[in-house]
Formats: sequence, structure tokens, C-alpha cells
Amino acid sequence: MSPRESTAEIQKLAHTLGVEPARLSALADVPAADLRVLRAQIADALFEADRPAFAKMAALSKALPGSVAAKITEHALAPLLAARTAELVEPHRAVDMVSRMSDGYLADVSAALDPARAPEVIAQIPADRIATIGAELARRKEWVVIGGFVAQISAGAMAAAVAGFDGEQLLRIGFVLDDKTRIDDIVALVTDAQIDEMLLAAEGQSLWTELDDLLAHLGPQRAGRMRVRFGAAPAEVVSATRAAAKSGALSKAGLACLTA
Amino acid sequence: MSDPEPSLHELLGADPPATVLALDDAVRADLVEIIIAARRQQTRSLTEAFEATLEHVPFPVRGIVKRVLGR
Repeated sequence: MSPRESTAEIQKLAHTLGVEPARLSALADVPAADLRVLRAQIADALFEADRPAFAKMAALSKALPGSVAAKITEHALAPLLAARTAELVEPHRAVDMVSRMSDGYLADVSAALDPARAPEVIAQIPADRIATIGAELARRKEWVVIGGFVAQISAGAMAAAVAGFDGEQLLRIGFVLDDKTRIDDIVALVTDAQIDEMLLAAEGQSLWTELDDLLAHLGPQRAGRMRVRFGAAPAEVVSATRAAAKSGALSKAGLACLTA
Repeated sequence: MSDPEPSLHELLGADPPATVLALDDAVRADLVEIIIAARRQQTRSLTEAFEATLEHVPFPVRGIVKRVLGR
């Protein structure tokens, strides 16, 4: 595991704990795999700490008509609590409630949800709704949240969501994906224009770590496509990329992926 | 190396990774503090949500809500 991966894991752990990543900077030397275990342990502990209360909320949603339950949820339940409750509600009921919630509230709930605890609910949300919520979460710069959802959404929803992200957003999301094997799938969906935006964003926003991470997880076919687009990139992007590799901001393997 | 009170093990209900246990006392104590704060915030939000639910629920179903929530 690399320091690059530990940085991404610290971002995710900070999200789970509701603090800024800088608050956890003392954990920077902990291997990414161990940070992942710690994050799962903390998420479980938080859930178990108030499980009886979440169970009551879930029972309430069963006892009321769907329309009433959704209305009460949106008016009375903080998004974190709605997210925890959704994890205990039967998937078909949760999907029904989701269909009745506003986009803004659903984005709030998504930001608090642990996607791994509600995979059946997420998989059943229509693709266009996923794309809408994904765009809202990207507007809020909730990269960790989006990254967590990628492992659970359907192929159609993934395509719809990816189409709505720009290159900078895709780099930031890819960096914090829970399932890095999906990076190659995502790059298969992007347009040439989005790849060009990624290269521009790496140069303009110094997202070399994010670009490096993406390149490290591409198969030969997608890497070849990145290489073609890099060959067509503006001279300032090419020179900045080479300078980043020289300074170590971009790995030599990353540069080789773009130029070999 | 002394363990903060409560220990990470007690808070998590499991043994954290050895690399986390090997962190300085002060770092582990800070982590314990952050986890406790997150738990308190969650519990506080839950209590507020129960109260808010009773306020927002339509009158005809208020009895059901009180019964289910044990209020």
C-alpha cells in the first residue's frame, strides 16, 4: 500500500467521523489496509451504539403508509439518522421512500449513508435519479461519498452518472474509490473530452496524485487511450506533466503510462 | 505504552489493527476523543429526531408513532 492510498483512506475515515482530514493527520503513516479496517470498525461501532433507536425508527417506517413515512422522514429526521434507519428497513420499502424524497434531502442522506450496508436499496434506484444525486454530490465536492456508491450502483446508473461528471471530478472521485477495480470500467465510459479535462485538471489543479492513482489502475486498452489523448494535449500540459514526473509529484510509471 | 480511557478496544468492540495500537499515546487518546464525539453527536441527533418526529407527524397517526417510539 502506498502513501497515496493512505491519504485517500484518511479522507474516508474523516468522513465517517465527521471531521476534517487534517484532524487525522497523525494517522498518515498507518498503512491504507489498516485504515480501511479501522474505518469499518468505527462505522460498525457507531451503528451499534444506537442500534435500538435506529430499529425504532425503522419500525415506525413499517407502521406508517409510505407517503406519510417519507414525509415525516424528510421533515423530522436528520440525514445521518435517515441513512442509518434506511440500513434497517426492508429494501423495497426504502426504495419506495427514496422515490418520494426531494433531490436535496436524498443527497444529504446519501452523504451520511454507508453504501455497503444498503446495497440492495442503492442498486434499485433508477439511473436518472442516481445521475441527479451524483451531480448534486459533485457540486458539494462529496468525493468520498460518490466513491463509496460506485461499488453498489447498477451499470446503467454508473454510465448515467459518469456522463455528468467533468474530468476534474472524475479524477477526484477515482482517487477515493473503495473498489479501485472500477476505475478501468469508469474510464471505459468517459469521452475524449472528459479525458482531456482530466489532463488539464491535473496540470491546472496539481492533481498529480489523483492522476497517478488513476493511471496505476488502468488496463492496457484504457492506458492506450490516455496515451493518445496525452499525445494531443496542449504543450503546456505536456511540459507540466513531465515536470511533475521530474519532481516526483507524478510517478515515473505514471509518466510512462502516458508516453510509452 | 498506556491505553487511553476508554480504550480503542472498548469503543470499537474489537481489536484495532496493530499499527493503530502502536501509535503514540497522545495520538490514540485523540482518536478516542474523536470517536466519542462522533457517538455523542449521533445520539444527540437521534434524540432530537424523536422529538421532531412527534411534532411533524399528522394527528391521526400520532398514537402509532408514540407507541412505536416508546414515548
